Amino acid sequence: MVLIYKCPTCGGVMTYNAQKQLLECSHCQTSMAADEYDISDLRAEENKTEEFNITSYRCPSCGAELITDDYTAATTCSYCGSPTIINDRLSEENAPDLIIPFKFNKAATLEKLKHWCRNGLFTPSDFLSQNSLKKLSGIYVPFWLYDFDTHCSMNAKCSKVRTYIQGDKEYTETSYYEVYRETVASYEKIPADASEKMEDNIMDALEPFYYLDLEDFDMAYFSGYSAEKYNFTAEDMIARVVPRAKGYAESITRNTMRDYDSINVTSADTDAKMTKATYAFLPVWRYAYRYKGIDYIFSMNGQTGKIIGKPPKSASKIFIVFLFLFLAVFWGGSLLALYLSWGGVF
Amino acid sequence: MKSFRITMSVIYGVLLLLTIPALIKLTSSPQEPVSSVRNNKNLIVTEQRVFDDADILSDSEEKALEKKAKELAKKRSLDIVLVTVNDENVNSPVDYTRNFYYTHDFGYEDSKGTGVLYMIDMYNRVPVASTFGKANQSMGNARDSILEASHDDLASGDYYDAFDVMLDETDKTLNPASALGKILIVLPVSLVGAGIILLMLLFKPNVNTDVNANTYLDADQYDLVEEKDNYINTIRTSRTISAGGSTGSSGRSGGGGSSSFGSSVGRKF
Ligand SMILES: [Zn+2]
Ligand SMILES: [Zn+2]
Repeated sequence: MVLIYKCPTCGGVMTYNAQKQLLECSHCQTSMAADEYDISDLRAEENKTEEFNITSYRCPSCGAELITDDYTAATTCSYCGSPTIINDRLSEENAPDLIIPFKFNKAATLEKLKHWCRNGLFTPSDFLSQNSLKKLSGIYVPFWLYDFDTHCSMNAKCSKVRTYIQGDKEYTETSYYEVYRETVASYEKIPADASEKMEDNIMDALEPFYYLDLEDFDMAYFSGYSAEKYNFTAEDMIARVVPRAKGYAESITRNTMRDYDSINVTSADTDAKMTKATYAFLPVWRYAYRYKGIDYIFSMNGQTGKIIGKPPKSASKIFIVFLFLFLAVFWGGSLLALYLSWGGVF
Repeated sequence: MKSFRITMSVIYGVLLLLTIPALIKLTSSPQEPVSSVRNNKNLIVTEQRVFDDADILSDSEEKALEKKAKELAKKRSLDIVLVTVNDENVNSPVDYTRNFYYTHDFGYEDSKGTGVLYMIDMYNRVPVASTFGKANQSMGNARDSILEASHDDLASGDYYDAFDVMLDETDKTLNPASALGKILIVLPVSLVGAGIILLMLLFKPNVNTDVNANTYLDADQYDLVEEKDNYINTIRTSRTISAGGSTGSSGRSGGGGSSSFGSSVGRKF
C-alpha cells in the first residue's frame, strides 16, 4: 500500500520537521509528535501493479507512477511532490525496530555544507555557491546494529625502562615481563549499513550516531524523506562487523597493559559472538553538486552534522598555501643560518 | 582554513620578532674597542698582539700587522693574535696556541674570551688557526679555508703576506653581511620542505578518530578475567656522560661557559 500522512485538520500533507522534531502540516501549521498521529487519518491506497516481476506504485495524490525500486520504502512523488510511504516494504517479517529521526532540515544542511566547504583550505571559493546542477536528499539508510559478546586472551612480551645517573654514568635498566590478559566484554549496536547504494567506507566515516536519540520505529518519521528497506540481511552483513568487534576486544585487552613502556603482542585468541541484530534506520543527507562538469557527492550525518566528502582543490589556492609555507620555511631557515654563522643571537 | 590562517599568523609573528635582532646586528656599528673594555676590568694585559718569536718578520712588518690586527679586532669584536714560533719543543702546535692565548689572558670581552690566534710554526712548517669563545662558532667553519688561502704565501716564504691574507679572510668571514650568502643554501632546502608540508596537507589521511574501541563497549559488561605478569629478566646498559672533550683539528671543548676552543692545522708548507 502507498501511504500519505494527511493533516487531520485541513487534509493537507504532513511531513516530519527535523528542526522541531514534530510532524507538521505545510498548510495549516498543525503539528504533533510522530507517535501522536492517529493512523486512521492516513491516506492509504493499494495503487500497486505487478508486471513481469516488476512491482510499481502510483501516487495516491496525483496518480503518477512513483519512481521506485525493489527496496524503496519512502519517496517523494516526482510530479506532485507528495511524500509517499510504501508500507509493503516495512511489513511484519522485515519490520524495522528502531530509528534515529533527522535533526537537520534541508536549509540547515545546506548551510552546514557551505560552511564546511568554506573552511576547506584548498576548496575553490565559488564551490557550492555557483548555480549548478545539484540535489540534496535526506535518506533513512537501513542499518543492522549488532550486539557482540567477546572473549580475548592475549600474550605479550612487555618491558619497563628505568634510567638513572650514578657518578658519571647513565644507567638504563630494561625489565622484561611475560604478560597474559584475558578479558570478556559486550559491545552494543555496532552499525553496518545494509544498503547497496551507500558506500561502506563513507557510512563508517559518518559514525558515530548517538543512540540516545533512538526511537521505536514509526513510519511518520519517513514522511518527506526517502528510505529504502535493507538490501542485505543481518547474516549477509555480519562478516563486515566481526573483525571490528574482534579488533575492539583486542584493543581494550591491550589497553590493560598500558603501564608498560613497550608492548609486543605475541599471540591473541579472540572470539566474537553475535548476540543480537537490530534493524534500524539512521538519517543521512546526501548532496550531489556539479562543479566544472564533475559531480561531487557529500554525505552528512543527519543526527550529528558530521560531513564526509572530497571537495575539489583549487590550483591557485594550492599555490598560495605553498607560497606562505615556503616563505615561512625560507625565512626561518635563513634566520637560523644567520644566527648559526654568527655563533648566537648577540 | 581558519586554523591554517591562525597558525601562519603566529609563525610569521614569531619570525618577525626573531628578525629584529638580526637586522640590528646587520646595521649596527661594532662594540666598544678592546682596550677600553679590558681596562675596565683592571687586568694586567699586554697591548702587544704580534709575537714574532721565530723572527721571520721585519720590524716594519710587525708594526703594520700590529696596527691592522688591532683595527680589525675593534671592527669585528674579537681579539686577534699573530704568533710565529720556531722551537723543537713544540710537539703539539694546537696545544701551544691554546696555552699561549690563555697565559696571555687574551680575549675581546673578557680574559680568555673571544678571539682568534694565527700561528706560523716554522719548526713543524704548518700554519695553525685557533678560535676561542664566540669566535669558535662564528669562525670555526672558516678556519681551514683561511689557512688554505695563505698556503701559497707561506710556501714562497712571504710570511707577512700570509698573515695579511689571514687577516683579510678573517674580515670577510666576520662581515655580518657575508652570512647572507649562506641563505642561498637555504633556498632549495625550504622549497623541498614547503613541498613536503603541502603534500601532507593535501593528502591528509581520512581516519575516523571519533570512533574507538570504547564507543560501542558496554562498560558494565567488561571484565578483566585474568592477568598475569611474570618477570623474566632485566638488562642494564650504561654509558659514560663525560665532560671532557677533544682538541683535535676541529671540534669544541672546554670546561663550559664561554671558554670554548677549536683549532685547525693547515697543510705543511
Ligand atoms: Zn493542515
Ligand atoms: Zn504525485
